[in-house]
Parts: sequence; structure tokens; C-alpha cells
Amino acid sequence: MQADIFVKRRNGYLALFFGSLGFLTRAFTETIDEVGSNPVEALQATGAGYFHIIFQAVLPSGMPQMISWLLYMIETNIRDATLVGILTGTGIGFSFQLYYHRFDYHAASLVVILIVITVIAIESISNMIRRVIL
Amino acid sequence: MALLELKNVTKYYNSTAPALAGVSFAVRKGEFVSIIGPSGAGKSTLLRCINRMIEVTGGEIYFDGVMSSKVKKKDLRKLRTKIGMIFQHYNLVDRLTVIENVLHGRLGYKSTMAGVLGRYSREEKMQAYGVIQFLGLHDQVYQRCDQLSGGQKQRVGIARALVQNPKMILCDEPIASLDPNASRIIMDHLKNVATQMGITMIVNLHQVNVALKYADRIIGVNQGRIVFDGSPNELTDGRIADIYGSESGELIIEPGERNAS
Repeated sequence: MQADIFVKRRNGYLALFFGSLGFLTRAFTETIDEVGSNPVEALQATGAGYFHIIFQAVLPSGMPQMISWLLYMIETNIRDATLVGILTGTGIGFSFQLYYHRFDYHAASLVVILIVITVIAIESISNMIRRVIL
Repeated sequence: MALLELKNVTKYYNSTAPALAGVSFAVRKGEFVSIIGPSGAGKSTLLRCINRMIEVTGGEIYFDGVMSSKVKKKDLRKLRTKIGMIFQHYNLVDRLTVIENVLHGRLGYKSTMAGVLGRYSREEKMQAYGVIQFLGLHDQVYQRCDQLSGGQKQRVGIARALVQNPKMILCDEPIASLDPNASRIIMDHLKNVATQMGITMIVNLHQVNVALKYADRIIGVNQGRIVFDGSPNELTDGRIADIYGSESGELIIEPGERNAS
């Protein structure tokens, strides 16, 4: 039983991990593409090397957008964790399911309210960070 | 001895039409050369072949006594530090400040680690500040480049080229996106750099009257070939027609301006 819960947790973790990995890879690629070749060309012409160009031109231009995507992924993952918890029987989703099936609607609604508060809190924090960096 | 010498330079992007066909000329130290010609004539290609942003298909390019078309990767970086470049769209990193963009001109001299971390010596910072002051940008040193006007951005571009301590600066349409007043300021700065610091200038231009006013020498390019090479005085209306093709009678060119101001 003890080992079982670890397997379930790992499965939930992996589900979110691979989803995020795929999405972020794509989003970062697009962001780097958007930086464009102009500053890269300029730094090449000064004699700068490959890593100079990455760290002095590409990353400074693309970093705010990348952080923005990262924050979006954190928000999404926290929301999704509830659902994954219900499906794999772990975490906050499991608590909700447990109270719900025991007809303990008071406790179940407390869980729902907690989830809503957490999501709102995380979103406002990430919006705050976004305003500062963009 | 010539600082830059091109011998029979040829460039093919595809097998059918050459972008450059047997281009040969030599440029002395401190000379202000202007390259004019219609769009697609090969002006930008010619400029980028000189610092090997584009590889030539055939021919030889000598810069400062080195055959630049043959040098290997590490020496190519060293070669490029001696050649500054200025672009039509300024090509700055907009999110960084003026001083950071200017210091990018020093990257060619730095080791990988120092360049990646952006560690510049005190001398380099003083030099960058001096150049910024020379170009009249001392109020904008710590301003981000996306807050600057077009003329100011181009001056940052010139500053970035100057901190390289170059022997030659290549300018690819430096004033094509600027208003007449900013254009004049930029061209005056380029002329000053050439005369005061003895840095060779090769400037691609669309405006014939600007070329006539500033250049010591004009090279006309059409369809990858040099069709004119001489002083501004030798560039008659007839020669301009040769450079720009048959419809040039309808072009908006006022060579009379060569006598103005």
C-alpha cells in the first residue's frame, strides 16, 4: 500500500512533467525565433563568438518572454494538479474525492475554496512578476 | 599600400545569375567611399563579402595585408574586430542600455567567459563612455535602446563600431530609415570619423545627392558589376543613368545639390 502511493505520485508527476516539457520547448523555440537575426548579425560582425552572441544578444532579448511562459506553465500545472490528483488518487484531488464520496460536503467545499484561493494567489503573483520584467 | 583590395570577386547565390561578377577595386586608408546602385544590384552582398558575413564564390579579398577570404575561424574573429559594421535597422539589442550595446563592440577582444558574463575592464568602459560622449549621447548612457529615436539608435550603432578600434567601417544603408535631419547628423558623424580618426568608410547609399556631398569617391554597381568608379565630380547625369538603368530620367535625383551648401 505504501509503495502504491509512491507509484501513483510518480505517475502524476510524470504526466505533468512531459506535458510541460513539450509545451515549454515549443514556446522557447518560438521566443528565440522572434528575437530575429539582426542583433545576432551585428554581434557576429564585431567578431563576437557563439556563446557571446547567445548570452549578450539572444538571452537578454528573449528572457522576459521565456519567464512569462514559465510562469504560465506553473499556473497551468497547479490547476492541472487537482485533476491529476483525482485521477491518480493523490494530493488535493484525492482529499476532495474522499470527502465528496463520504457525502462530507462541508469539507469538500473547503477543499474547493482552498484550490480557488491558491490559483488566484499564484496568478496574481505571476502577473506581478510579469509587470516588472516586461 | 591599399588597406582593402578586392580582386575579381564573384558570388553566386544560385547557379543562374551572379550577385557579384568580377568585382575589383582597392581602397586607401582614410578614404570615404560610397557605393550606389539600384536595389538588388549587389551592394549589400559586396559589403558583407568584405567581412565575410557572406562567403565569396570566387576571387580574392585582401584586408590590411591579410587574404581575408582564406583565414580560419579564430583569425576571422580577429579580422572582424578590425572592421566595424553599421546597419540600416541599427541591429541593437533593444532591451539593453546604450552603454551595454556600445560595449558589445569589445566582445571580439574578449575570452568566452568574460564576454558571456559581460565583464569589461575599466579602460574599456572609459573608452565606451568617451565614444558615447563624442557622438552626443551622454544623456542617454543608461537608457534602454527601445526608448531612443532612430537617429539616436544609429549613433549607438556608430559607437559600437568605434569601440572596436576598427581600421575600416562598413555602413549598409545607414540613413535609409531616418528623416533628413537625423540623416545629416549621421552622415556628418561618419565623415568626421573618416577625416579625424583616419578610419576608412565604405557606405552603401540610396541617395545619390548624399553620396555626391560626402564621398571622396563613388562606386556605382549594377547587376553585380562595377559600372562607375571615380570622384563625385566625374559622376554626370549620364553616368547616373548608366548605374540606375534606362528609366533614370524619371528618377528623383537632383545632382544640382552637389553645388549647394
